[in-house]
Amino acid sequence: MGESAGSGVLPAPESTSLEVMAHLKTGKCTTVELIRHYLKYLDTTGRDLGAAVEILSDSALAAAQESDARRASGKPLGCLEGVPFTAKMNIATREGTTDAASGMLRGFVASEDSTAVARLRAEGAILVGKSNCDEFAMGASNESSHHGVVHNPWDRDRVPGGSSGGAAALAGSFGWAFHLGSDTGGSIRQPAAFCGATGMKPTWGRVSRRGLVAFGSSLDQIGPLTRDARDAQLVLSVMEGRDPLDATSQSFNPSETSSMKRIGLVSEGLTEAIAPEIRQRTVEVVEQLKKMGHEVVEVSLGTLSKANACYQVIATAEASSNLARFDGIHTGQRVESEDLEELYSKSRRQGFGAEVRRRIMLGTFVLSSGYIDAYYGKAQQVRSEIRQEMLSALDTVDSLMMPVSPFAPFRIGERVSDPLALYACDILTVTANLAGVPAVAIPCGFDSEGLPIGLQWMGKHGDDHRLLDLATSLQDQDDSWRGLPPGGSQ
Amino acid sequence: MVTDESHPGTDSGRPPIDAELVRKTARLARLEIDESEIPQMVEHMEKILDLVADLGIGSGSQSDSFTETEGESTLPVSEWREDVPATEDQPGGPRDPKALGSNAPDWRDGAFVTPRVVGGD
Repeated sequence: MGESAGSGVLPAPESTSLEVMAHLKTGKCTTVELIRHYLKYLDTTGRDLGAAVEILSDSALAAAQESDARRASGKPLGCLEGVPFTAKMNIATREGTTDAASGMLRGFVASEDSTAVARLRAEGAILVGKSNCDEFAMGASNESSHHGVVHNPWDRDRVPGGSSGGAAALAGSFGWAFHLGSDTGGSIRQPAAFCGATGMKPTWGRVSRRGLVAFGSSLDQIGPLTRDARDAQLVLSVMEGRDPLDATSQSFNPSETSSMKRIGLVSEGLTEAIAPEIRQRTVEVVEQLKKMGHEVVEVSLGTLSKANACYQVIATAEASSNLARFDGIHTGQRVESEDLEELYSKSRRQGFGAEVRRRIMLGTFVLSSGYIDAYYGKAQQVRSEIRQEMLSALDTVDSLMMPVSPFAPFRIGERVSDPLALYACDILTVTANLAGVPAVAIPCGFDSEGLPIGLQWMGKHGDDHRLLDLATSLQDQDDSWRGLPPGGSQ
Repeated sequence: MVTDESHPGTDSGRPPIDAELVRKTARLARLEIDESEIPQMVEHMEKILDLVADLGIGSGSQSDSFTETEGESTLPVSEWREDVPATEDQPGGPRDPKALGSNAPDWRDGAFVTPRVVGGD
């Protein structure tokens, strides 16, 4: 058990959200005591890491009081009753700002919650803060936020990954809460892997995107970053399903109800381009799976080598279109000018950071007359091939596994000046987004420098919960994921 | 295939990126760009478009660029919503005009107050 606060005994720092709910049920502490302590953690470690950019103390404590009152009066409780959670800065919440970590949206307060947040609150979860991220979710190192960089809790000189770097740093450094991120090309899974957290990118369309600041609409998905797969399972089950206010959202059924027995190890995920220690760990986990009774076969995804290039074209094209709305008049910060074109271009120049401007430029180029067929059209064609190959492979196995990142968390500033070095972070994650399939990343041990290693499993459309069952069975075998970084929970 | 004949193509299949192309793209993107930023933007766009050349840029004809792969499965069409009046934008609803207005720098009589349209009389 953890330390005392008032009359209550708080859960241990590494406790999962499910364990926190069980703790609250015993009456060892109140929800107010729990939330008060978590707010303090956000205000100390969360801020030191650069991960927590807004702390919603008043509304969170009010919600905690209401939860305690419900519990005391015997009223029905939600399935996430009393559990704290944060939302990434690009997910709309009616308290706090939703600025997508961009100067363009500085001070923007959404008038209502995103559907995902509203559904979680309806089940008793308590929004405690907003987490840092790369500007407009574009990045793999959380170095492009106008709120500043985020530090990896396992080594504060290193990046937490991105774009959901704040959410991952919080999930990796302390338990109790869950954290909402968004994944367009790996933005939940890669930071989860870097920070020792569990990260789930659901099937595209499974979770409503209403209230998510759009980046690449055909790729974006909201998903949870948690301590373990059981928490992710619960959070996803609350958020998922058809939302009348997002026409692309759907309720999915699994392809089968049985557990995933046959696993495909993607051979392209074990090439020389992948760090040796990550390859070694992947092989060890394969052996673990075999011991657990799984059949593991090698599967080739030849299109993997084209996935990153395809992603760069499609994601930037969609970004340039989605971000066209930020013109300084209808939306976004306005730079006064006597000339309309100048007002647009100056407002956008001032509001957007360098990485976002670079992606808008590239997206505009690949959509421009004379180049659209060669670039955007070709990329769409390749995307179809990637999807076909992925689905064909998943006809022969239940799940495909490979590392999340080709390398360990790198030092802050090490890659920031070279866009290609940053884009290389995504080479193993973008495929799931391009194919629209679900993918879960879980921590699978550490390298010789003590940095977390994450592996991912992908499944057919709708197989999200089967994937999380598989992840849970692995986490039940090896509980190294429970450990917190030294000093992380202070 | 790159169809702009004023840009003959490089070995990798991508068009040459120069300062003028960057300026033109910035104009299309409505993004002000300083002259001092152009050399780096040229370098970055060249690098990224070389990466993208892995897709086989120039190897497909325009006619097949947007053709779906045969057998492409599509997700089922979502069900229609019920044909009932929406109440979200009524007072007290999640999109109550007053709540929307609370985010505006200036809000009067149920409408956003905006600066004068630039360039107008």
